[in-house]
Amino acid sequence: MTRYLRLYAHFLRFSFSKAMEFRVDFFFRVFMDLFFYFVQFVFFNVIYLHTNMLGGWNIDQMQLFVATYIFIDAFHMTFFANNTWWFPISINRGDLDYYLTRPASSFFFLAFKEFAANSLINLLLTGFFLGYILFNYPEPLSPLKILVFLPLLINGAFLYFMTFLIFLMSVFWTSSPRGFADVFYAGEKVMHRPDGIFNGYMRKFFLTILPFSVMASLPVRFLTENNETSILVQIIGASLLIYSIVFILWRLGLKNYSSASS
Amino acid sequence: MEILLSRSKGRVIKMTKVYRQVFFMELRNLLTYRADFWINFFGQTFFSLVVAYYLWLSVFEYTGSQSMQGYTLQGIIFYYLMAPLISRIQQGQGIGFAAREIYDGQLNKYLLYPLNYFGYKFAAYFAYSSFYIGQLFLILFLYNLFFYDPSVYQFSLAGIFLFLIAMTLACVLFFFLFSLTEFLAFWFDNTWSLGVILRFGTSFFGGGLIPLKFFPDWALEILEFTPFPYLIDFPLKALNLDLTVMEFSKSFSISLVWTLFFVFASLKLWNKGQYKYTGVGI
Repeated sequence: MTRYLRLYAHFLRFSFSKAMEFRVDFFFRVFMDLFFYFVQFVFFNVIYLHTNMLGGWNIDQMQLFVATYIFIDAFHMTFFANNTWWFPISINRGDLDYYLTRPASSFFFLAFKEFAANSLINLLLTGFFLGYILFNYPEPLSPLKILVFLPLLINGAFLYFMTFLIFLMSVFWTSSPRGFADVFYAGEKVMHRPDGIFNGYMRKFFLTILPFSVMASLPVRFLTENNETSILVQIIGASLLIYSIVFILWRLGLKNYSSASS
Repeated sequence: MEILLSRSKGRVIKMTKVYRQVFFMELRNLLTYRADFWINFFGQTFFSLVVAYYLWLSVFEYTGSQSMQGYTLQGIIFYYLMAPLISRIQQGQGIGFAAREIYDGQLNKYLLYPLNYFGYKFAAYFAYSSFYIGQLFLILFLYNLFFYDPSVYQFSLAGIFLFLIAMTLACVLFFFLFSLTEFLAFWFDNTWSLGVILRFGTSFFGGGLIPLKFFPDWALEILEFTPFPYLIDFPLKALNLDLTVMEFSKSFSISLVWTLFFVFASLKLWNKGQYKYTGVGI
């Protein structure tokens, strides 16, 4: 464990020096994410011009939901996003060979090597913003629930990352340049909508098999509603399912991996 | 004079042949991973529709309205079926088509070959756009086959014709607008994030995320004079014949002015940028 922490500290150092190589791009990226957050808020504000409730949530709940998912997005962008970019390229180009021969987990290398220093600024900003929304929330929120809510957000970001990896791991078999990344990006919109709008099989689908609604919607429900135990069980169950699938797929993928320029 | 004319005619024919080759080469590139390509395409369409359907169903059910801002629920689903397809047509090849080559020095080859850089790049871009137009017509055909509802969409040759005019102009406009962010790579090396901002902005302010009719009036009045509505909203309205002749002419004219502006700005930036280019790469 200490070895991996030391290794991660090295990754961080390299990432910061790499980020400073392109100083202008560093700020472009900060601005890019800020623009994305701005659009998310405007999107829901435009919808609330025409309705008072969406998926059972009023505008205050919706603002909390948006602040939650932009925080999750910022967390993902900071810790995982660059790795998802390189993941299929490394497998296709055969860079995985290098990691397979290292005395450390090859998955650890591929999944955590890149840290986006520029997104760290956005992570801090979204953190402050989420804090502001929580502080100004019109109904009282239990401090204990807020304490549990924070790890649920980190789980949401990790779950998002792991779900993305499932879509990317298809490159082990198809050798295509980006796997099914485009399908994931389209599906990701489900995470940006409250789970209350879905019903029937589709709702079950997004709460279990493709748990986009578990990432941000359920943590907000946990915080603002009363059936906390069942929501927690649901979040843990869906997360464990996805983590197991990633683990199995990774092992199967490695068996299928045909080395350089596959 | 005759010799000069025949020489320039010969050159045009030669160039047309080259750009045709580029066009078909890019089409082949696009379809290299066919299974992947179609899975991505149907996956994207499926998710776009599912998200739009449940979101607007929820809004319509809560408000109890039959129609909002002129859209019925079916009408808005049709909108969300077409908008991402139009967005894909207009966005063509993708981010980095020039910036990457400027950064890693591959631009050298275009400067050495007896080719017009813009001609080459536009032929490549147009290959993608043409293919996505084919996809749009395929989806339109399937929609009419299985969900035909004349109150939502009625096939008409005039609509297709106007759509093709508006779409072609949108493609040229976006290509040159996008080139600006790409050519900034002459100064800043990495401009990927600017491309993402532009794409995202185009999608939102162009009506890709939410129909523009849902925006407040003051916002619509401002947007009308920006290039964004002419990239998604205008072609979609043309397809649906949702414009009078006057409205079409007005949108077409504003769009054309923006196109000319971005052509000019893009050429200027390209000429200036070449002086900054070292041709070394990473």
